[in-house]
Amino acid sequence: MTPSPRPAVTPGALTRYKVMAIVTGSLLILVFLGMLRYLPGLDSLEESLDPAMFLLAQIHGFVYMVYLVTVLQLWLQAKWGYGRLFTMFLGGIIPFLSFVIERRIADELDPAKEATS
Amino acid sequence: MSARQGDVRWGPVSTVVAALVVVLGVCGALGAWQWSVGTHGGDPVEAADAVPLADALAPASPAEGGVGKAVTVSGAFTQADAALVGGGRVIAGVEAVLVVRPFTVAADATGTGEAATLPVVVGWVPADDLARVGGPSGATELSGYLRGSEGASVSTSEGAPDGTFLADTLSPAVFAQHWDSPMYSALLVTDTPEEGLQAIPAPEPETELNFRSIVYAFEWWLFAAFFLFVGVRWIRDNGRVAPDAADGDEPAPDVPTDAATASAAVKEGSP
Repeated sequence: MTPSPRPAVTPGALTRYKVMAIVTGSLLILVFLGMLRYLPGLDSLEESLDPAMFLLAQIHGFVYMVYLVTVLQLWLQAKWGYGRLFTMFLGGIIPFLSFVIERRIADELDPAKEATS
Repeated sequence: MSARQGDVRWGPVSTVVAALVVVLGVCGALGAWQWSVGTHGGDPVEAADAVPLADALAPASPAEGGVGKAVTVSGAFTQADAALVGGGRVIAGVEAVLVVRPFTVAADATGTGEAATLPVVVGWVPADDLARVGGPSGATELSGYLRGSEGASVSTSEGAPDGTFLADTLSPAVFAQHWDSPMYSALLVTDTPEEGLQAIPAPEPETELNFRSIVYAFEWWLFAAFFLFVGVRWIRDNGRVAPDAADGDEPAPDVPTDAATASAAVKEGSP
């Protein structure tokens, strides 16, 4: 078996992914916080909160699409497996997951660590 | 066990293709559904689906489900005063006044066995040309769609041409002060305007709802494109038996060798 060459991840793709992971993750937390108003006793917030939540959910939808593009580019460059792609895909749907993955990927592709590996 | 390198791995490939077909079908159908919701907006009234009025609405009862339905009705226009409903509405850039006439629905067409009065919007006139409103037509069969009522307002006969009264809203409750009971709680907008009057334009679809649904449609299709791309790539990378995985094992996710086997498989597969 030939040793796998160091994947050619461009700094641009990594930066774009990191930015989008943080933006998507933050928006997702806001969307989930907004859903708290469905808790019993918070019905009074409906009128004031709903238009803003609707807008937020729409923005999250768009941002998630952009996030997926950056995920795809980084994944193609890094030549990861399909399991990694799936967790990155879920990153924009499950709260806090994108931060965890972003941290792990950043560590993994850290140039300082790369030099020692 | 007998798989040689370069052979197509039909099992995994057909599984992935089947999964792709399902995912693309679901995403595509959801997108198409959102698209149809978005582009058609409020349900267009289909004259072909017209039902007798008694099937859509009963006199003096709430209009809930009946509004928007195309209906046919038989009876006759009454000689009572027509309502001229202004209220500052604008049609085609002109301040417009809707002409609403009382139509007595025949006793055998109401569903209750008793005749009832249906307010019928027969057309509109420019607000500065009220003299064009004549008397009711002799029509005994009407077709059109049911329109919900508006809030109550005051009505007055002062300043109105003979045989009419003025009101600001399409409100059967207001019309009831001038016409015979029982009244229907919704109005009929006729398909063809009365002679001398102009046709009521079709109701406008809700634009905000449109925009949201169209956005959702595109998002679904983008998801489909994403899955298609990943699926095609998987087949390209793993569709053939790799040189060092002759048993056809699924490469475990996140294994670094994935890259090496994948690129080898690509070389193998290309002419």
